[in-house]
Amino acid sequence: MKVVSIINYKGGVGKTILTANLAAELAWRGKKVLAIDMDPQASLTFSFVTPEKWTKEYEKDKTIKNWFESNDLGIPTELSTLIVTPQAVNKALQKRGQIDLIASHLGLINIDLELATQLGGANMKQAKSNFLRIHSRLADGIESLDEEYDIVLIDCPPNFNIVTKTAIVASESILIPAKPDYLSTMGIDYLLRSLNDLVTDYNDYAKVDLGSSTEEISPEVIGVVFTMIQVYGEQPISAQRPYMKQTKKLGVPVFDSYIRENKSIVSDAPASGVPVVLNRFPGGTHSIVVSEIEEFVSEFITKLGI
Amino acid sequence: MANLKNDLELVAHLLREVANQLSSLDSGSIELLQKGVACLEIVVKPKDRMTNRKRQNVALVDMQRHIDALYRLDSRDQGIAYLQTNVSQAKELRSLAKELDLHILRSDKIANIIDKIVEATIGFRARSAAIRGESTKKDRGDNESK
Repeated sequence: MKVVSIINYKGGVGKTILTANLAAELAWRGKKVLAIDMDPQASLTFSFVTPEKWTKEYEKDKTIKNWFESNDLGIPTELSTLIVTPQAVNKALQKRGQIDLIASHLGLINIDLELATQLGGANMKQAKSNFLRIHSRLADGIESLDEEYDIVLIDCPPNFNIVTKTAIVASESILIPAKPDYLSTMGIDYLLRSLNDLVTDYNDYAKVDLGSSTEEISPEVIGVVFTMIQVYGEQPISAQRPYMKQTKKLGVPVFDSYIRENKSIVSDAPASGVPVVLNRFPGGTHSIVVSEIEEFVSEFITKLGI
Repeated sequence: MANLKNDLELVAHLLREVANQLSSLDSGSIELLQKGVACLEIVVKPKDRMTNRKRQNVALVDMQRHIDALYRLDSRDQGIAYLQTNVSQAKELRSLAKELDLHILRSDKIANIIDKIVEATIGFRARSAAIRGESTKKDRGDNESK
């Protein structure tokens, strides 16, 4: 089972739409996918279930927030009890594959404060032990899942708080969606620095004998996928191309495929609960966008080896 | 008979040369000739030995040399100084920007073009290294020692 976090420091890069479509296309190709929404904005959640259903059935005790809270209270619930199977998208999949979801909660943002209070300790050894215990929480939860998935996709918020770090620790690969512009590509550098710091700290602490065996982590950046591309003459416009080239030149792996911007296709698609990639558009720009997503997913599968 | 043929070929060749030169005249000059207020003057000079294609290739090699030099520099100031010394003409700067696939506007002044070239060859590395907490000089040294 592969675990992949999807993250960028910079918001508004099309991260959630990419995650939803990646999950849907992988499932269309027969994979069993678990999508975990760790972003308090809950956009991935609302891409698959309606806010009404979320309020009625999930908000109280079926979100990732509840799981973190139950751990804090010392009566941890199993991660598997939070898994739901969204109807609309799975109907559209025609039993080819499956998408399950662990929903997010708007109150997830407060969990970071709770976790931060648990990080200290009476001495250095205790502080390190707490650091490892808190940061490896999600990894342990995913590992203990009874049900076998081909891939777990974690939609992370655009920050590097403790909740995000638990997702990184649980992941073996990191996918970075980015817009090819000045600020978004800087977000890639911020992310790589934070990633490096986290891995260094975590592994330093893991090496110390704390009475329990903690494995070191080595999450790998599978690549940057450029999104919201403006195309002219069958290629990205000249204002965007330099940023794509520069990212490659900095030694960051970059996907050959990219996803073009199309406001009409993404503006209301999440409302149907079915990502656009599962729609069979007869032609035109919509079908081009779908082709680009399919192309990206093929490259993703190859890079990840699934 | 053979002499006549040679003469005709010579005339044809000369007329082609004249036609080539006439085709490069602008409409204003043609109008002056038409009105009879100007006349043609024929000057015979050795042909430029470099073809357009060769000239383009030489220009491309020059551009690549400048790009390589800029990539070896560490600071924006060094880049600006290099361009001011080595590629000072607007036309050359535009060609260099084109070679780098940069978005240059017709209204961009020389200083704007220099900024864009420096940003695309040096600036992006400098800001990336700064954000990641690395040193560009150190990186370069590491690469060279490999």
